[in-house]
Amino acid sequence: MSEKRVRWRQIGQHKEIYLFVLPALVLVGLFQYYPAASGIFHSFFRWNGAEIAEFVGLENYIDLVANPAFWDSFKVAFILGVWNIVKMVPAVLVAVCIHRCRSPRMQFLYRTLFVVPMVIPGLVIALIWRSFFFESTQGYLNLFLNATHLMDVLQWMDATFGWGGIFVEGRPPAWLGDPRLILTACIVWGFPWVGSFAVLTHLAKLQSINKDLYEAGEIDGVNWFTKFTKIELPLILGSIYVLLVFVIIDTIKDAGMILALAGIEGGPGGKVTVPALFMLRKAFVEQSMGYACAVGIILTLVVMALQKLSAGFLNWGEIGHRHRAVLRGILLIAGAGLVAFAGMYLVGGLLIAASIPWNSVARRLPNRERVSSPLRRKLRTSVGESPWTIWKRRTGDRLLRVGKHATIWAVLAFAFLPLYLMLVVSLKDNTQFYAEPTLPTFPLHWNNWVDAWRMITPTLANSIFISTLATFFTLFAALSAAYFFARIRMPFSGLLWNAILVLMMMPTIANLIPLFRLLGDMNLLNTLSALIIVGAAAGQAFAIFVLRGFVADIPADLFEAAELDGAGHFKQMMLVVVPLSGPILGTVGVMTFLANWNDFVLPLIVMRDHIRLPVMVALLRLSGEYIKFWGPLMAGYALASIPIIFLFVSCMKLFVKGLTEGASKG
Amino acid sequence: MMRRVLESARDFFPLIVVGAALAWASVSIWQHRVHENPPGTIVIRIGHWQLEAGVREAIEAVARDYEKLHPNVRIVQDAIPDQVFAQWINTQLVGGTAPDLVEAGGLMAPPLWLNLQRRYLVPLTRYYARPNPYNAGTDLEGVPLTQTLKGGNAVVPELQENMEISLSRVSVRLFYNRDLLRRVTGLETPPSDLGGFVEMCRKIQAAGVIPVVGSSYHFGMWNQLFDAVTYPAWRRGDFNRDGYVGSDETFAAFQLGHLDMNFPAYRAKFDLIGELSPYFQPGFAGLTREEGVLLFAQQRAVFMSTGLWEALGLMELAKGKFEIGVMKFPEPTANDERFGRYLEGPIYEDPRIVFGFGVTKTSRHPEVAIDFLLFMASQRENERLNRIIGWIPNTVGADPDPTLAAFEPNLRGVYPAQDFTISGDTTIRWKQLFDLFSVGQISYDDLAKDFGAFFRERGAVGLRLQHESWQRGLVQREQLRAGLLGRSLAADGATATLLRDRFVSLLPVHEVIDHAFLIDLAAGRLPSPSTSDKHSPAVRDAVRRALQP
Repeated sequence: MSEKRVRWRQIGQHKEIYLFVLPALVLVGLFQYYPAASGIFHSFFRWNGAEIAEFVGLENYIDLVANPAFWDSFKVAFILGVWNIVKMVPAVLVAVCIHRCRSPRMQFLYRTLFVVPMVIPGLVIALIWRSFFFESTQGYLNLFLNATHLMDVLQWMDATFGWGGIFVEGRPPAWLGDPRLILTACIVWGFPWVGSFAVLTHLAKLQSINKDLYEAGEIDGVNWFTKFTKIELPLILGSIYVLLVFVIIDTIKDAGMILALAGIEGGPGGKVTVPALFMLRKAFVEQSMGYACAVGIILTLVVMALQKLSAGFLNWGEIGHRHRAVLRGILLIAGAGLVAFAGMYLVGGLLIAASIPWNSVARRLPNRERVSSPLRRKLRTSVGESPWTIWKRRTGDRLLRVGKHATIWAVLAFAFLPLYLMLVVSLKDNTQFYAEPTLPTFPLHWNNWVDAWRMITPTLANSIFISTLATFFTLFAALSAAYFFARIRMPFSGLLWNAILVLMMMPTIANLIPLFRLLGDMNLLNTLSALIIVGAAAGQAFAIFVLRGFVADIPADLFEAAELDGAGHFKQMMLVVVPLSGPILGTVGVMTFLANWNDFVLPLIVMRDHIRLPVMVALLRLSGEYIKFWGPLMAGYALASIPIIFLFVSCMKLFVKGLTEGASKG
Repeated sequence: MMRRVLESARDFFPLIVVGAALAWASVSIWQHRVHENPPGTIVIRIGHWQLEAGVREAIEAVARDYEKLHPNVRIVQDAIPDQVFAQWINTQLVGGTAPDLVEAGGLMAPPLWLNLQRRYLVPLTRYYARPNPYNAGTDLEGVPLTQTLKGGNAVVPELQENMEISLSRVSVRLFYNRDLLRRVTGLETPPSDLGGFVEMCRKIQAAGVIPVVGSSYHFGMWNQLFDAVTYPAWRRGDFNRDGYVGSDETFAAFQLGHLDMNFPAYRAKFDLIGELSPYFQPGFAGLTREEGVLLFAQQRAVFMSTGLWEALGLMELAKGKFEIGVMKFPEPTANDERFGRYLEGPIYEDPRIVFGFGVTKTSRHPEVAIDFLLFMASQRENERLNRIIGWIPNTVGADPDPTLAAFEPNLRGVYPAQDFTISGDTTIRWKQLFDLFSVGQISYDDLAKDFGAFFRERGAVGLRLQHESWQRGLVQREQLRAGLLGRSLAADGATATLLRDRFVSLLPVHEVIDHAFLIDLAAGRLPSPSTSDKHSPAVRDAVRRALQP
């Protein structure tokens, strides 16, 4: 649908359409733009978050730029970011393996099986890893390394390469306690790193691949790897890029999981302090709110720059030479700056390397004979196969099929491990747990579940209430706004659209301090309403972005027909947009619900009473007990995960349909 | 028809699920709201981080007693894990949603807590001058509160106010597995001197048993011993001669060159750590608190250092498995060649901020909150509270459990003269570098070089902020001064003298001079002054004699 343009003089005919964008604007204006503006304002003050504010000009920024701890936090973020990119590989492999299953039933089974462990809230997984895997004396990671003799290998490597005695015989490595290991722990946790959203997104893309392509490939005798590199990978590259951008930005702006694993101090020696954690510590531990606002502003700028850069690189082929030169120049300056001033040689080197026009360099090199593509090679050799070749190919196919399923089951086994532990330990008392932490023991203590239910019921209800209503408000406001942006190009709509887009780059955490003050001024601290409204506001940018694409793709004829029947904008919305939006609303709804359910940084700061806490914060508090009752604790983790698993499984069809039809356009 | 219904039910299944969940959640929240606060109920919230065994139960028991006396009051606990307490209380105080009673100290650097005290807590000084009404019928009836508390209620010097009431006293001790000790060394009780202790640890280690179990948390308990050897620095940094080297004085002493990281007593502290750390299990500083406890419970080590607050939990874990003994930290004797000259007396065990509570200004019912605090501090209830927790009561006449005699803190002795907490970032930096030193990732020289430079650079900012913070309190103290003067004029005898002295000590001229002196000193604008090492030998001997047990 091409959007209709309305000029200033025609505005009267369509003025009611502004009402569609009003709820979204109120939400983002009040809970995102106002805190952002307040953050900018306060970043020039020495502000303690309360009555004391003293104008200091650029002092906070100067101090920040000169603070090595701040730059160290970016180094940590960079290392984690690189690993987060590596961690995207398993999701792609799993998606391809599932997609390659010939039987639709097996595909459905795998999809369902993968979804179950993967939608367990990240915090729960982090807490399980913290308590069970990383524990040094009885933790599963050390047990695994010892059982497989990998520990011996690590000890040998430590002795040979002089790692400084991290792995020494008789001394179990303390993954979260040793400053030399904590960064590794923050990388390793969550293995096998198969995120449900990533798998389903890739899967949706893969399912949209035309079957003819495969058939053509098979006729040409293309092997499994070439199928992946030549057919599948190019087609899912778009979604990989989108996820990549999210991953990089999330690494910089997110502090939640590091907070759960290493605490506000960033672990021993502060070794895993990421920028957002640095900001939180400045604000809520050191009471330097103005300084923290300055950190937030710089974070926003870095994220925006990264977004812009990645957009540039994603559309490299489409941008002009001048833009390319500018981007290369930025990379070169940034790389040189990092090398010269921050001592970040690796990062700087990579940026400098990326700034070099390798194609031009290659063109200047002497011509070499082009190597024929595997597809062509196959084409040449696939004619006139001998029986031996046919047998070899068939055996290879069978082995491949077995390997495919074996890979899926192996990844599944690892993915289910936290769930398994959760369930097994939830039925033990402490004595049984200390004696045998891994296998089921008898008698089973079902009363742990009763205790856990009693412990977290109010918080579970709060989370359902908050997440559902926040999702409802998000969808309502975002769909209306999407209609406004997609249907007619009104005066100011371009400006408003850009204003919404900017929000996608603005890390919510950067505005946390002014937002906290705003909620305080509105008497919303320690209320469920605060989390609902802020949740709805935070979800607007992404939801509007996705839904606008969907509404824009609805055939214009439908709207015209409705208009001919005398339908105004409200009727068109109700008669045309809403009935068609089921799947896409399902997709966006599930994602919004998950985001609200899993969020714990804002509630940790905003909420006080136990009775009003969302379940994630309650779990975090329970995990802080000095003497833990493991059974009820694990039962609590399971109870916090069940609603989300149930929701995801029941909405999966809708979710995948939405991804296939519209969301992946984003 | 039925099929169509089923099909549409399938289509709307997700919505039905979400709708049902929302309905259940709404009903559940509504039910909790209804039962939460019946109309007319006064809710008093008490926020603390003591998640050890027994604490919540003890508060609950005392709260129920109080509620029986005051049926319209309900006491609710906010027990927050120590990892997030500082951040939590900070935001709650700033946001005006803090509990009515908050645990003192806030698990943060003293200057930061001082800021919060000044801004958000109600001064309790006037209550200290009055009898605790809940002591009626006891031997403390009619006695002013200040005289009913054993310790831990000193006036906050910067505010000249009593800001909290402490309920318990605890101390840090070495716990040991008596059975394992007997089996490995044949000893019934461990030696109390450092030399003997080290020798014994050598034997235990040779037998293949871990002598001392540690974790980053439990290792910190040893600071009571390690820090005590820094006491000689008092003579170099106590510029205002109050007998204590504060963070501002430590900074000024560094700026003037009176002290640095290579000061012999500071180095001795780290030498002492080096002397003992080989007897901790390898990689000890990397373990968490729970991991340390687990190793001790599994009988893999003989000793563990921890506080009385963990005793109950340890006893529970050891029940039926082994017998637990308790001892004080082994101290170097006077003739110890390396450390004897630095430890100038027995170690003072600070009981000041132990389970103390302050009342927040944002409390809707501050009088009720104070009343409940007084109730907990009364002789009868304080004894009950501490019996349940297993701590030492802070109220005079409230008897501790007889088994706690070994935990009575020593209040006469030497104390640390090293305070790097002048600002939030120096506190964090010190902790981070100390962690790295503990695991052997950096040497003392590296730590000294890195932190020395950092402390000098950031300490200047911290000192300035402290000064500004003090300036902001001037107006508040003006009211206090007026009150003190009025009361001293109305009183007679010793009370009048006491009030007059406090009034004089708070005169702006004194405070301004004190602060300006330190600021100028640190900025190098004043000649290096004399400190306590200029006391006459007779005075020093008198102090030394007074410190002898």
